Amino acid sequence: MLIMLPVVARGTEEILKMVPNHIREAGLALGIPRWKVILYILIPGVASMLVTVLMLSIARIAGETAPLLFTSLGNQYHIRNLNEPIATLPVQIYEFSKSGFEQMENQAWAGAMVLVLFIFFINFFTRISLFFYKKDRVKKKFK
Amino acid sequence: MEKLLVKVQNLSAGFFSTIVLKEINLEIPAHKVVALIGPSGCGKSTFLRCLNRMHEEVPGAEVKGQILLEDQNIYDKFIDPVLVRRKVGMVFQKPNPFPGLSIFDNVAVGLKLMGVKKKVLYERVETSLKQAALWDEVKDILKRQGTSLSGGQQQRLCIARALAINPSVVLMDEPTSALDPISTSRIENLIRRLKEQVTVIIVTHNMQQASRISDKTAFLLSGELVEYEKTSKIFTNPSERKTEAYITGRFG
Repeated sequence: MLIMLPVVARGTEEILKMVPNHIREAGLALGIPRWKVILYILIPGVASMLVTVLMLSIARIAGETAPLLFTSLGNQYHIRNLNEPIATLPVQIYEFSKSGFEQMENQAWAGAMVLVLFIFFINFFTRISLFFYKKDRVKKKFK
Repeated sequence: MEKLLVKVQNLSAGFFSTIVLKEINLEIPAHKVVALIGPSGCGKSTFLRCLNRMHEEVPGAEVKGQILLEDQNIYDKFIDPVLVRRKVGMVFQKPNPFPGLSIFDNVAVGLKLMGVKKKVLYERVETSLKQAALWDEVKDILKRQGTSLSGGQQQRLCIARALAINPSVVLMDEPTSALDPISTSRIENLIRRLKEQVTVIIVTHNMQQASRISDKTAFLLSGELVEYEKTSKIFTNPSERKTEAYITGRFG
Protein backbone atom coordinates (compact mmCIF):
# COMPACT_ATOMS: atom_id res chain seq x y z
CA MET A 1 0.00 0.00 0.00
CA LEU A 2 2.71 2.45 0.98
CA ILE A 3 4.59 1.83 -2.24
CA MET A 4 1.45 2.70 -4.17
CA LEU A 5 1.06 6.13 -2.59
CA PRO A 6 3.56 8.14 -4.64
CA VAL A 7 2.23 6.74 -7.90
CA VAL A 8 -1.36 7.52 -6.97
CA ALA A 9 -0.45 10.95 -5.66
CA ARG A 10 1.44 11.88 -8.81
CA GLY A 11 -1.26 10.50 -11.05
CA THR A 12 -4.01 12.37 -9.20
CA GLU A 13 -2.01 15.56 -9.28
CA GLU A 14 -1.49 15.34 -13.03
CA ILE A 15 -5.17 14.62 -13.63
CA LEU A 16 -6.30 17.54 -11.49
CA LYS A 17 -3.89 19.77 -13.38
CA MET A 18 -5.62 18.76 -16.59
CA VAL A 19 -8.88 20.33 -15.42
CA PRO A 20 -9.07 23.70 -17.18
CA ASN A 21 -8.46 26.68 -14.93
CA HIS A 22 -11.76 28.34 -15.73
CA ILE A 23 -13.66 25.50 -14.07
CA ARG A 24 -11.68 26.04 -10.90
CA GLU A 25 -12.29 29.78 -11.09
CA ALA A 26 -15.99 29.24 -11.61
CA GLY A 27 -16.06 27.27 -8.39
CA LEU A 28 -14.08 29.88 -6.48
CA ALA A 29 -16.29 32.67 -7.85
CA LEU A 30 -19.29 30.94 -6.28
CA GLY A 31 -17.85 31.62 -2.87
CA ILE A 32 -16.71 28.07 -2.22
CA PRO A 33 -13.44 27.54 -0.30
CA ARG A 34 -10.60 26.11 -2.36
CA TRP A 35 -10.54 22.68 -0.72
CA LYS A 36 -14.27 22.25 -1.24
CA VAL A 37 -13.91 23.23 -4.89
CA ILE A 38 -11.37 20.47 -5.35
CA LEU A 39 -13.20 17.84 -3.35
CA TYR A 40 -16.78 18.39 -4.50
CA ILE A 41 -16.44 19.92 -7.94
CA LEU A 42 -13.19 18.92 -9.58
CA ILE A 43 -12.96 15.34 -8.31
CA PRO A 44 -16.46 14.22 -9.42
CA GLY A 45 -15.58 15.50 -12.89
CA VAL A 46 -12.50 13.31 -13.16
CA ALA A 47 -13.61 10.34 -11.05
CA SER A 48 -13.33 7.74 -13.81
CA MET A 49 -9.79 8.86 -14.62
CA LEU A 50 -8.82 8.57 -10.97
CA VAL A 51 -10.12 4.99 -10.87
CA THR A 52 -7.89 4.17 -13.83
CA VAL A 53 -4.87 5.59 -12.02
CA LEU A 54 -5.72 3.52 -8.97
CA MET A 55 -6.02 0.33 -11.05
CA LEU A 56 -2.73 0.91 -12.79
CA SER A 57 -0.91 1.53 -9.55
CA ILE A 58 -2.37 -1.56 -7.88
CA ALA A 59 -1.21 -3.61 -10.85
CA ARG A 60 2.15 -2.01 -10.61
CA ILE A 61 2.82 -2.62 -6.95
CA ALA A 62 1.47 -6.15 -7.11
CA GLY A 63 4.38 -7.02 -9.35
CA GLU A 64 6.94 -5.04 -7.38
CA THR A 65 9.68 -7.35 -6.02
CA ALA A 66 12.97 -5.58 -5.45
CA PRO A 67 11.68 -2.90 -3.01
CA LEU A 68 9.97 -5.63 -0.99
CA LEU A 69 13.27 -7.41 -0.45
CA PHE A 70 14.38 -4.39 1.54
CA THR A 71 11.11 -3.37 3.14
CA SER A 72 9.17 -6.46 4.16
CA LEU A 73 12.36 -8.55 4.13
CA GLY A 74 10.61 -11.82 3.26
CA ASN A 75 9.61 -14.56 5.66
CA GLN A 76 8.61 -18.12 4.86
CA TYR A 77 6.88 -18.77 8.14
CA HIS A 78 3.82 -17.51 9.95
CA ILE A 79 4.11 -14.11 11.52
CA ARG A 80 3.13 -13.25 15.05
CA ASN A 81 3.20 -9.47 14.85
CA LEU A 82 3.45 -6.90 12.09
CA ASN A 83 6.96 -5.79 12.98
CA GLU A 84 8.44 -9.10 11.88
CA PRO A 85 9.46 -9.76 8.30
CA ILE A 86 6.36 -10.56 6.23
CA ALA A 87 5.93 -12.98 3.37
CA THR A 88 5.01 -11.39 0.05
CA LEU A 89 3.93 -13.16 -3.09
CA PRO A 90 6.41 -11.63 -5.55
CA VAL A 91 9.37 -12.35 -3.26
CA GLN A 92 8.10 -15.87 -2.70
CA ILE A 93 7.89 -16.42 -6.45
CA TYR A 94 11.43 -15.16 -6.80
CA GLU A 95 12.78 -17.38 -4.05
CA PHE A 96 10.96 -20.48 -5.25
CA SER A 97 11.85 -20.05 -8.90
CA LYS A 98 15.59 -20.15 -8.22
CA SER A 99 15.39 -22.98 -5.67
CA GLY A 100 16.11 -25.81 -8.12
CA PHE A 101 13.45 -28.18 -6.82
CA GLU A 102 10.82 -28.94 -9.39
CA GLN A 103 7.98 -28.80 -6.92
CA MET A 104 8.94 -25.37 -5.71
CA GLU A 105 9.34 -24.11 -9.24
CA ASN A 106 5.85 -25.33 -9.97
CA GLN A 107 4.61 -23.44 -6.95
CA ALA A 108 6.35 -20.33 -8.25
CA TRP A 109 4.41 -20.65 -11.49
CA ALA A 110 1.24 -21.08 -9.52
CA GLY A 111 2.07 -17.98 -7.50
CA ALA A 112 2.60 -15.98 -10.67
CA MET A 113 -0.76 -17.23 -11.90
CA VAL A 114 -2.43 -16.07 -8.68
CA LEU A 115 -0.90 -12.61 -9.09
CA VAL A 116 -2.04 -12.27 -12.68
CA LEU A 117 -5.55 -13.49 -11.87
CA PHE A 118 -5.75 -11.15 -8.89
CA ILE A 119 -4.97 -8.12 -11.05
CA PHE A 120 -7.22 -9.40 -13.79
CA PHE A 121 -10.23 -9.76 -11.53
CA ILE A 122 -9.74 -6.41 -9.81
CA ASN A 123 -9.63 -4.70 -13.19
CA PHE A 124 -12.49 -6.78 -14.50
CA PHE A 125 -14.83 -5.91 -11.65
CA THR A 126 -13.96 -2.23 -11.66
CA ARG A 127 -14.61 -2.01 -15.38
CA ILE A 128 -17.89 -3.87 -15.01
CA SER A 129 -19.04 -1.67 -12.15
CA LEU A 130 -17.98 1.48 -14.02
CA PHE A 131 -19.90 0.25 -17.04
CA PHE A 132 -23.09 -0.24 -15.03
CA TYR A 133 -22.59 3.06 -13.25
CA LYS A 134 -22.38 4.85 -16.58
CA LYS A 135 -25.31 2.92 -17.98
CA ASP A 136 -27.33 3.91 -14.96
CA ARG A 137 -26.46 7.52 -15.63
CA VAL A 138 -27.44 7.25 -19.28
CA LYS A 139 -30.78 5.80 -18.29
CA LYS A 140 -31.41 8.66 -15.91
CA LYS A 141 -30.44 11.04 -18.66
CA PHE A 142 -33.38 10.03 -20.84
CA LYS A 143 -35.92 9.50 -18.12
CA MET B 1 -30.76 60.16 -5.16
CA GLU B 2 -30.16 56.57 -6.14
CA LYS B 3 -28.58 54.25 -3.61
CA LEU B 4 -24.89 53.58 -4.10
CA LEU B 5 -23.91 49.95 -3.83
CA VAL B 6 -20.26 49.81 -4.76
CA LYS B 7 -17.70 52.57 -4.30
CA VAL B 8 -14.29 52.09 -5.82
CA GLN B 9 -11.66 54.40 -4.35
CA ASN B 10 -8.14 54.85 -5.71
CA LEU B 11 -7.99 51.29 -6.94
CA SER B 12 -4.70 50.28 -8.51
CA ALA B 13 -3.94 46.72 -9.52
CA GLY B 14 -1.29 44.82 -11.40
CA PHE B 15 0.73 41.68 -11.80
CA PHE B 16 4.24 41.59 -10.37
CA SER B 17 5.54 45.00 -11.33
CA THR B 18 3.28 45.72 -14.31
CA ILE B 19 0.54 48.14 -13.42
CA VAL B 20 -2.77 47.36 -15.08
CA LEU B 21 -5.16 49.71 -13.33
CA LYS B 22 -4.24 53.24 -12.24
CA GLU B 23 -6.16 54.97 -9.49
CA ILE B 24 -9.68 54.10 -10.52
CA ASN B 25 -12.53 55.93 -8.78
CA LEU B 26 -16.01 54.78 -9.59
CA GLU B 27 -19.40 54.59 -7.96
CA ILE B 28 -21.97 52.03 -8.92
CA PRO B 29 -25.63 52.54 -8.00
CA ALA B 30 -27.84 49.65 -6.95
CA HIS B 31 -30.14 47.92 -9.42
CA LYS B 32 -28.48 49.32 -12.50
CA VAL B 33 -26.56 47.77 -15.36
CA VAL B 34 -23.10 49.23 -15.75
CA ALA B 35 -21.11 48.48 -18.89
CA LEU B 36 -17.33 48.61 -19.07
CA ILE B 37 -15.95 49.29 -22.51
CA GLY B 38 -12.46 49.79 -23.82
CA PRO B 39 -9.88 48.16 -26.08
CA SER B 40 -8.36 44.78 -25.27
CA GLY B 41 -5.80 44.85 -22.50
CA CYS B 42 -7.04 48.09 -20.99
CA GLY B 43 -7.81 46.41 -17.66
CA LYS B 44 -11.56 45.87 -17.86
CA SER B 45 -11.36 42.23 -16.85
CA THR B 46 -8.83 42.95 -14.14
CA PHE B 47 -11.11 45.64 -12.76
CA LEU B 48 -14.01 43.22 -12.76
CA ARG B 49 -11.98 40.54 -11.04
CA CYS B 50 -10.89 43.01 -8.37
CA LEU B 51 -14.54 43.54 -7.47
CA ASN B 52 -14.95 40.01 -6.13
CA ARG B 53 -11.35 39.43 -5.15
CA MET B 54 -10.78 36.90 -7.91
CA HIS B 55 -7.83 38.97 -9.07
CA GLU B 56 -5.68 37.69 -6.23
CA GLU B 57 -6.15 34.09 -7.42
CA VAL B 58 -3.63 34.81 -10.17
CA PRO B 59 -0.01 34.45 -9.06
CA GLY B 60 1.77 37.76 -8.63
CA ALA B 61 -1.38 39.83 -8.38
CA GLU B 62 -1.28 43.10 -6.46
CA VAL B 63 -4.06 45.42 -5.39
CA LYS B 64 -4.04 48.85 -3.75
CA GLY B 65 -6.88 51.13 -2.76
CA GLN B 66 -10.28 50.14 -1.52
CA ILE B 67 -13.62 48.94 -2.74
CA LEU B 68 -16.65 49.58 -0.56
CA LEU B 69 -19.51 47.16 -0.95
CA GLU B 70 -22.47 48.37 1.11
CA ASP B 71 -20.03 50.59 3.04
CA GLN B 72 -17.73 47.71 3.89
CA ASN B 73 -14.23 47.65 2.44
CA ILE B 74 -13.87 44.23 0.85
CA TYR B 75 -10.09 44.53 0.96
CA ASP B 76 -10.00 44.82 4.76
CA LYS B 77 -7.59 42.35 6.29
CA PHE B 78 -10.20 40.48 8.29
CA ILE B 79 -12.57 40.00 5.36
CA ASP B 80 -12.67 36.49 3.91
CA PRO B 81 -12.60 36.56 0.09
CA VAL B 82 -14.89 33.55 0.08
CA LEU B 83 -17.63 35.63 1.72
CA VAL B 84 -17.08 38.51 -0.69
CA ARG B 85 -17.59 36.14 -3.59
CA ARG B 86 -20.92 35.05 -2.19
CA LYS B 87 -22.13 38.65 -2.38
CA VAL B 88 -20.55 39.29 -5.76
CA GLY B 89 -21.21 36.56 -8.30
CA MET B 90 -19.44 36.15 -11.60
CA VAL B 91 -20.20 34.89 -15.10
CA PHE B 92 -17.30 34.16 -17.39
CA GLN B 93 -16.60 34.67 -21.06
CA LYS B 94 -16.77 31.00 -21.93
CA PRO B 95 -19.69 29.01 -20.60
CA ASN B 96 -18.14 26.77 -17.96
CA PRO B 97 -20.62 24.40 -16.34
CA PHE B 98 -18.98 21.93 -13.98
CA PRO B 99 -18.20 18.69 -15.83
CA GLY B 100 -19.58 15.52 -14.28
CA LEU B 101 -22.37 17.35 -12.49
CA SER B 102 -26.01 17.31 -13.58
CA ILE B 103 -27.90 20.46 -14.56
CA PHE B 104 -29.57 20.46 -11.16
CA ASP B 105 -26.30 19.95 -9.30
CA ASN B 106 -24.58 22.67 -11.31
CA VAL B 107 -27.02 25.21 -9.92
CA ALA B 108 -27.35 23.58 -6.52
CA VAL B 109 -23.70 22.92 -5.73
CA GLY B 110 -22.99 26.40 -4.39
CA LEU B 111 -25.96 26.21 -2.04
CA LYS B 112 -25.25 22.63 -1.05
CA LEU B 113 -21.71 23.45 -0.03
CA MET B 114 -23.02 26.41 1.94
CA GLY B 115 -25.16 23.98 3.91
CA VAL B 116 -28.61 24.80 2.55
CA LYS B 117 -31.23 22.16 3.43
CA LYS B 118 -32.38 19.74 0.77
CA LYS B 119 -36.03 20.80 0.99
CA VAL B 120 -35.26 24.39 0.19
CA LEU B 121 -32.73 23.41 -2.43
CA TYR B 122 -35.20 22.37 -5.10
CA GLU B 123 -37.15 25.60 -4.82
CA ARG B 124 -34.04 27.73 -4.97
CA VAL B 125 -32.79 25.89 -8.04
CA GLU B 126 -36.15 26.32 -9.73
CA THR B 127 -36.27 30.05 -9.00
CA SER B 128 -32.75 30.67 -10.24
CA LEU B 129 -33.33 28.67 -13.40
CA LYS B 130 -36.51 30.66 -13.96
CA GLN B 131 -34.66 33.91 -13.39
CA ALA B 132 -32.10 32.81 -15.94
CA ALA B 133 -34.91 31.97 -18.42
CA LEU B 134 -33.77 28.38 -18.67
CA TRP B 135 -36.36 26.54 -16.59
CA ASP B 136 -38.78 25.70 -19.43
CA GLU B 137 -36.03 24.17 -21.50
CA VAL B 138 -34.46 22.02 -18.80
CA LYS B 139 -37.22 21.20 -16.32
CA ASP B 140 -37.58 17.66 -17.72
CA ILE B 141 -33.88 16.94 -18.05
CA LEU B 142 -32.48 18.16 -14.75
CA LYS B 143 -30.55 14.90 -14.29
CA ARG B 144 -28.63 15.33 -17.52
CA GLN B 145 -25.06 16.54 -17.55
CA GLY B 146 -24.66 20.31 -17.57
CA THR B 147 -22.15 20.03 -20.37
CA SER B 148 -24.72 18.35 -22.65
CA LEU B 149 -26.57 21.65 -23.17
CA SER B 150 -25.93 24.02 -26.07
CA GLY B 151 -23.55 26.94 -25.65
CA GLY B 152 -26.28 29.53 -25.06
CA GLN B 153 -28.06 27.28 -22.61
CA GLN B 154 -24.80 26.58 -20.82
CA GLN B 155 -24.20 30.29 -20.41
CA ARG B 156 -27.68 30.76 -18.96
CA LEU B 157 -26.97 27.79 -16.70
CA CYS B 158 -23.87 29.62 -15.49
CA ILE B 159 -25.97 32.73 -14.85
CA ALA B 160 -28.47 30.61 -12.90
CA ARG B 161 -25.59 29.14 -10.95
CA ALA B 162 -24.33 32.61 -10.06
CA LEU B 163 -27.85 33.79 -9.10
CA ALA B 164 -28.57 30.76 -6.93
CA ILE B 165 -26.49 32.00 -4.03
CA ASN B 166 -28.37 35.32 -3.98
CA PRO B 167 -25.59 37.78 -4.73
CA SER B 168 -26.20 41.51 -4.69
CA VAL B 169 -23.87 42.15 -7.61
CA VAL B 170 -23.27 39.96 -10.67
CA LEU B 171 -20.14 40.54 -12.70
CA MET B 172 -20.16 39.45 -16.32
CA ASP B 173 -16.99 39.20 -18.33
CA GLU B 174 -18.04 39.34 -21.99
CA PRO B 175 -20.83 36.84 -21.38
CA THR B 176 -22.03 36.78 -24.97
CA SER B 177 -18.82 36.89 -26.95
CA ALA B 178 -18.84 33.12 -27.49
CA LEU B 179 -22.51 32.97 -28.45
CA ASP B 180 -24.67 33.32 -31.55
CA PRO B 181 -26.95 36.37 -32.06
CA ILE B 182 -30.10 34.64 -30.84
CA SER B 183 -28.55 33.42 -27.62
CA THR B 184 -26.98 36.84 -27.25
CA SER B 185 -30.30 38.64 -27.45
CA ARG B 186 -31.80 36.21 -24.97
CA ILE B 187 -29.05 36.91 -22.50
CA GLU B 188 -29.40 40.65 -23.08
CA ASN B 189 -33.11 40.46 -22.30
CA LEU B 190 -32.22 38.45 -19.27
CA ILE B 191 -29.78 41.07 -18.03
CA ARG B 192 -32.39 43.80 -18.46
CA ARG B 193 -34.78 41.85 -16.26
CA LEU B 194 -32.11 40.90 -13.75
CA LYS B 195 -31.49 44.45 -12.63
CA GLU B 196 -34.67 44.35 -10.59
CA GLN B 197 -32.93 41.90 -8.28
CA VAL B 198 -29.22 42.54 -8.67
CA THR B 199 -26.72 45.04 -9.93
CA VAL B 200 -25.02 43.91 -13.09
CA ILE B 201 -21.55 45.00 -14.13
CA ILE B 202 -20.76 43.81 -17.60
CA VAL B 203 -17.62 43.94 -19.71
CA THR B 204 -18.32 44.04 -23.41
CA HIS B 205 -16.55 44.64 -26.68
CA ASN B 206 -19.79 45.27 -28.44
CA MET B 207 -20.78 48.94 -28.40
CA GLN B 208 -24.33 48.24 -29.51
CA GLN B 209 -24.67 45.79 -26.69
CA ALA B 210 -23.47 48.33 -24.17
CA SER B 211 -25.90 50.93 -25.46
CA ARG B 212 -28.78 48.45 -25.56
CA ILE B 213 -28.57 47.08 -22.06
CA SER B 214 -26.67 49.42 -19.78
CA ASP B 215 -27.74 52.42 -17.71
CA LYS B 216 -24.24 53.73 -17.19
CA THR B 217 -21.08 53.15 -19.16
CA ALA B 218 -17.46 53.43 -18.13
CA PHE B 219 -14.74 53.82 -20.73
CA LEU B 220 -11.33 52.52 -19.74
CA LEU B 221 -8.16 53.16 -21.67
CA SER B 222 -4.77 51.68 -20.77
CA GLY B 223 -5.68 51.28 -17.13
CA GLU B 224 -7.29 54.68 -16.63
CA LEU B 225 -10.91 55.59 -16.31
CA VAL B 226 -11.48 58.08 -19.11
CA GLU B 227 -15.17 58.68 -18.79
CA TYR B 228 -18.03 57.37 -16.68
CA GLU B 229 -21.45 58.68 -17.55
CA LYS B 230 -25.02 57.79 -18.34
CA THR B 231 -25.00 55.47 -21.34
CA SER B 232 -27.19 57.76 -23.38
CA LYS B 233 -24.74 60.60 -22.84
CA ILE B 234 -21.63 58.57 -23.60
CA PHE B 235 -22.99 57.34 -26.88
CA THR B 236 -24.53 60.58 -28.08
CA ASN B 237 -22.47 63.33 -26.56
CA PRO B 238 -19.26 62.14 -24.90
CA SER B 239 -17.25 64.84 -23.18
CA GLU B 240 -13.84 63.32 -23.88
CA ARG B 241 -12.40 63.19 -27.37
CA LYS B 242 -10.84 59.79 -26.72
CA THR B 243 -14.22 58.31 -25.87
CA GLU B 244 -15.75 59.70 -29.01
CA ALA B 245 -12.91 58.32 -31.11
CA TYR B 246 -13.30 54.89 -29.57
CA ILE B 247 -17.04 54.52 -29.83
CA THR B 248 -17.17 55.78 -33.37
CA GLY B 249 -14.43 53.38 -34.34
CA ARG B 250 -11.87 56.06 -35.23
CA PHE B 251 -9.48 54.88 -32.61
CA GLY B 252 -5.78 55.37 -32.53
